[in-house]
Amino acid sequence: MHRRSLAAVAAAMLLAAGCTTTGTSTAPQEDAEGPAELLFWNTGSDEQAAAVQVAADRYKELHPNVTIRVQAIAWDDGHAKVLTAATSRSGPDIISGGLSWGIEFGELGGMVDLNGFDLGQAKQQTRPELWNSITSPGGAVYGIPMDMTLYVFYYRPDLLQKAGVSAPPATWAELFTAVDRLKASGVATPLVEEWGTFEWLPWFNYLKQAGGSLYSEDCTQVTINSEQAVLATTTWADQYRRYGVPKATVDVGAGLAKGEYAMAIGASYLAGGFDSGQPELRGKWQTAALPTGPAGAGSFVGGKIVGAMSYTKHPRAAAEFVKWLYTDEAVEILQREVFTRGGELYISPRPELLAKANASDNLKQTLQTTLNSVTGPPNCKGWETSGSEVSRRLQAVVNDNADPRTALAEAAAVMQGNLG
Amino acid sequence: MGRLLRLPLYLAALTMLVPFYWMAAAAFKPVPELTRNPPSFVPGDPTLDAFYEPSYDPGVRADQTVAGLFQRYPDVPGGFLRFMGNSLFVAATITVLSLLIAALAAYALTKMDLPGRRAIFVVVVASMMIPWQVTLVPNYLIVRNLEWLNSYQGYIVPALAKAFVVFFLVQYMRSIPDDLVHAARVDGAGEFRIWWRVVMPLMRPALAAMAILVVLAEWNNFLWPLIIVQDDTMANVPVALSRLNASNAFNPNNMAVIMAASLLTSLPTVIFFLAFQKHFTRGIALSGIKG
Repeated sequence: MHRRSLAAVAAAMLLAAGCTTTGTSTAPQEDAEGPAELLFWNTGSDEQAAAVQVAADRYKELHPNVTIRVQAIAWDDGHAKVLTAATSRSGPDIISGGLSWGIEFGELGGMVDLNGFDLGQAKQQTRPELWNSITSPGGAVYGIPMDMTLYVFYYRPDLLQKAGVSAPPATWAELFTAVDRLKASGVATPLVEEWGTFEWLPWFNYLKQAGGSLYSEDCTQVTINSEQAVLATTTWADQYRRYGVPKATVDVGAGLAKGEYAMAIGASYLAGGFDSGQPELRGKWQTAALPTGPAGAGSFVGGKIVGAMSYTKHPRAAAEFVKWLYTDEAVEILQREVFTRGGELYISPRPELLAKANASDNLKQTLQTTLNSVTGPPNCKGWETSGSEVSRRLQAVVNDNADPRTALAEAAAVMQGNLG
Repeated sequence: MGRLLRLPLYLAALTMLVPFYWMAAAAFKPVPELTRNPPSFVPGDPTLDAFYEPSYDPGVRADQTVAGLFQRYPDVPGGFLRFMGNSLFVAATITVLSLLIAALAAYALTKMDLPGRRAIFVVVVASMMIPWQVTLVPNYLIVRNLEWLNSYQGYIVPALAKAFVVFFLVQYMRSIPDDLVHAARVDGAGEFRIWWRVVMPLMRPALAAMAILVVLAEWNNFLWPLIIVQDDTMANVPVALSRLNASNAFNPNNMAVIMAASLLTSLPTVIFFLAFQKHFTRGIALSGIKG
């Protein structure tokens, strides 16, 4: 069995075992200024953890009695590890991880509701779509956004021009026209997809661009069996059926460098690795916002939350550090260090600071445009657990020519069941 | 003709060896060569940068310079060697102790007049049918309640009882004549002395075969350490490799470092197998168990 699957099985079993316990009860230390030694599990690469450690060291200069040690945990295993920590009530004081982890682990009793620590400024500084995503239906905020990942349209201007396409496609129609022209000009695979390839994440973009949604505003109804969703699904499926988008994960940078691919719909984190990983690609790639659909622009936004674990002996000190990560100084450190150490693009949840990110003007402009039309993951119960089943129904439209309406009706039933 | 018939076997062996070769070659390629398209089969300009990159400075951005393997994990005393040490210590301890325990059990089940020994053996064999994932949660809860998370005993103790090893050693021990044991008893030797002095020396091939299987399983163990280790200093090599892989997701230049780590991780198991392979095949053959 694949390691990730094993970890997921273990996590599910721990959850099923209901092994949340009260653990050893020690009265929490309420002083934000310490003395406190905090362990921070940062989900991501070692380089990201090293960057966050620089921020933590700066925090210690400002708060000498609070020491924070940052430790990296890999994305593949992070969920299982944090779930284990949350259920066994032993482990780190602070964690970062997927946007939905806060609600998931918070509802299990594993994380502190940060509403008790004056989140007013952080809320004001965050895109509302993102804030809604991390707020539980009951109003609790177990983790606040730490960074953002956006969908970006990457392309090779020279290949587009050679194919007679003068500008990056702005609409669905232009996108598929460009695919046809690039194919005719000899580009083997004109369009590829990355970040949730052939799963439901890229389909979210089409859904939003078609005017659809996953749930009703109040999370009481699943709404993916709409006419807008049918249009989105048909268009999404046509990418693979008619326009040759690979269903398997591809190396976007290598493909763009070789000229095998001319356009890619992928995550913003890809941008950091293009120039270093593929030196011959330097100066040859550009970005744009995703093409729009009949309802306009739309893009899924992901990222990480950061929050304090409920069993920490220092909830206030942990919460204050979490909030400090929103300050200008902390964001500046993270922008610089994440880029310096890992070559990665750090996108703060504070969009007004995007201008200071280590990225080209073109990319910053793209991200700024994209931010105006983002949709975060829903905060409705069971959406994430529905992922594999819904993806399977969507894939059936491509693989088995299933009727989109039937597929969506089945997917809606799955999601409604998980909604409870 | 004979050689021709063996050709499929050679091809199958080649498919096993090529990934190893690719890993070893990639560990010694400089970054530009590593990301070159089409890739080179033999490193054109071999380097040890993946193990230690002299020009690496964490505070200075350089596109194609990444930290070497032994420059990583600055928060862990000893870095990657610490993970290898953890793996080595845990795998060696579990192997020695679990074989001793299993050999004692096998002796009691085959050479002693133990009441209900057939029923006990059936229970041991039946326990092999329980997927180990099922015992993960109870084991975890026990280890946590004993406050053994982040400890070597948390790694080792739950892994000591191995039903398959008991089963295998029982099969092998049955081939040792009971007369030897009876003769030793007549000479006045105690059961423990008979087990250690008479039976165990004859068990070497079987023990070697089991040692290889247990060492490999424990060296590669990922999920249990992932769950019980909450501090990097206690991580083993597979958990460390998983972390390295996370770095590569954002920067393909880390591939050489991952290959270097994979090479160092694979070497002990390869050496161990080569050293004990004769015992391994003999043990499997004599026990009468076939795959």
